[in-house]
Amino acid sequence: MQKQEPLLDVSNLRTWLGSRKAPIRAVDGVSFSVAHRTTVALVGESGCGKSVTALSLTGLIPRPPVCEMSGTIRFDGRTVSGLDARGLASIRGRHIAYVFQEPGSALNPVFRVGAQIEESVRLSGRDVGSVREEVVRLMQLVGLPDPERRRLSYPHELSGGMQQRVMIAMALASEPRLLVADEPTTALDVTIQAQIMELLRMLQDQLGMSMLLITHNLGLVADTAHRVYVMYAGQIVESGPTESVLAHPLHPYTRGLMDAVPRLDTIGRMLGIPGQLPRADERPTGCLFAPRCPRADDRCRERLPDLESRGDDRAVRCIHPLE
Amino acid sequence: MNAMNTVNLDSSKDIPLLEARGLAVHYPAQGGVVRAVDGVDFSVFPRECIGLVGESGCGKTTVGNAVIGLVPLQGGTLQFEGRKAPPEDRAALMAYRRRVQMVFQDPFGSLNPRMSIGRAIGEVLRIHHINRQGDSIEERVAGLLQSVGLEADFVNRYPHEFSGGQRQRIGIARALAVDPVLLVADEPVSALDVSVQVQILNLLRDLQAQRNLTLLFVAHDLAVVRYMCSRVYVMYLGRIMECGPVESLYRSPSHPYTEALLSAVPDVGRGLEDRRSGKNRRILLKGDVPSAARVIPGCRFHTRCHRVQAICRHTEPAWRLVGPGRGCACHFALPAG
Repeated sequence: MQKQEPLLDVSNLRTWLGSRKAPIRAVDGVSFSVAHRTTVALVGESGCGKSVTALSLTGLIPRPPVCEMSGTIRFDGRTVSGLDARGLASIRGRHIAYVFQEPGSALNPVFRVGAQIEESVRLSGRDVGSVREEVVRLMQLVGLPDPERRRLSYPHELSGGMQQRVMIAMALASEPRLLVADEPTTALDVTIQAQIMELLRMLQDQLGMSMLLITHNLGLVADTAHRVYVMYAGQIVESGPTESVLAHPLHPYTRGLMDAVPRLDTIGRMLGIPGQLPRADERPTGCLFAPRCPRADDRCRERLPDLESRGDDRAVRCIHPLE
Repeated sequence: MNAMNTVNLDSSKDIPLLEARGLAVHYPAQGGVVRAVDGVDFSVFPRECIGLVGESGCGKTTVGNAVIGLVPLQGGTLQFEGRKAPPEDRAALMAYRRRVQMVFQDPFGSLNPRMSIGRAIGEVLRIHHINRQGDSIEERVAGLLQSVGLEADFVNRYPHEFSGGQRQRIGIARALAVDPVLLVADEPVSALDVSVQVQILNLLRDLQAQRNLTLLFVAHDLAVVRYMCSRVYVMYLGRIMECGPVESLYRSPSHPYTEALLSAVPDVGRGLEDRRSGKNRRILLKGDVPSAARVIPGCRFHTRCHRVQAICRHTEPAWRLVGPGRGCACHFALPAG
């Protein structure tokens, strides 16, 4: 079988923010791809650049604060020309749709939810016949009970879980090929989180979408993602199939992150990661993780290691990877 | 054997430091009352860390607030060291607050942005007239900062100059200033990044051991509660659904709510296991938590329960013992293994 080109292929994406003189390297040379019908996770702590990466895909961050943006984005086999506003707009909202963390603030409080879904259907430009029937169909698809009545509700009348279902319905209105879910359940309670993740898995499967999951939660990655990219300080430090990365992390940061998350069966003292993320204006020379790394030596502090591919579909940016 | 007649050298172990019986806190709301806490019993023994866990709106934070006296009780009693708490008399209340302190969720919101760290902590010492062994307030503050892993010369800095983790350390130092015996910690790490969470959790564990502290740890994160606590109470809609030692409760939950809650937690270890076996052991609960303003007949959990039977819809289950140290309010409690 011929190897299919991935749906999304991002190479050497660079999104710098702030002033050109002292830019904040929010995303600094990130490459990743999302295959058809798969879920890929970008995982990292806050400030690692995972959300800026997601927003950069469709140019959702204005200039300023963006002061420099470069890289290549290929979507469905064609290059999205030069990351300019027109090129990105051609895929934004049509082929790539977003679900964000806070459904309460993403919805307009003064419009009924049905009207907001309807707007998404109209903007998609799809020929759907009756827009109202399409709204009801989308609401059913995302598991909103009693859609004929619910579509007349205002956002504040819905629970957080219901609001997130409305957001998902709006995202699906354009029949996207890629759904970018940026911490879609972080603001929700754990039993509701489980419902929403199950819904996203079911929809991805049923609609044949791909999903880019942005999260800090390694448990969600283990439950959902086929492939994972671990980000630290604007760069990818490790990538590979979820099972092998989580079962045998190669980068000391991935290991540290796993050791820092309490599990249901944690016994004994957790270690965590000493220190803090490097400040945007104080980037260390050499490996960005070296100041916090238990394995760091002089070589690590001299030169930034490359993200090196290994034979087993994995890559790691480290001179002294764990084995 | 009659527990009352047991002779125990460490008798303080058998007398709860804090005890709640039928605790009720109701808030007035549009067209009725919200029964935030609606008949809660629990005991906290000296030097243990008790977890109060549940989803948002279950009443766990209100319980913590009731303990430190931030909200009035509508019913029930709280006893601290054998006396009614919080005391009404002002002098007694001041003394109570020297014994019971709180660490809040949002360390920035709970610090005055215009007050230097040294002043914020020193203020506590001044209010409570703590000036032991002739130490100056400055020396005491420096010592407190060091005990939470901060540098003593931070005293002249302001809250905005610190990271979230450092601010939470400051919040802990301030709570410890009066040398309390009971610390109520309400979601102390949920606003922090994962790698910082562990540092704060480990700090709390160390301080608990060094200072013989008793902790009432309020949290939504079951894994964090597992790491910190010896016993846990699971709350739902203003009531305790189940309680027990963490190990046995997590291994074999008796209440269907605990069972579902534990199964819903995304967990790396279990996620990898499920991938290998191709199984999904998750229990998906239906719908949302009902409003606490609504009176639900029968068991409060029946609208979402995956094991619901006819009786659950009209008869409230009684609290019963299901194993060593294990209690559960369910008609069909699973055996506690």
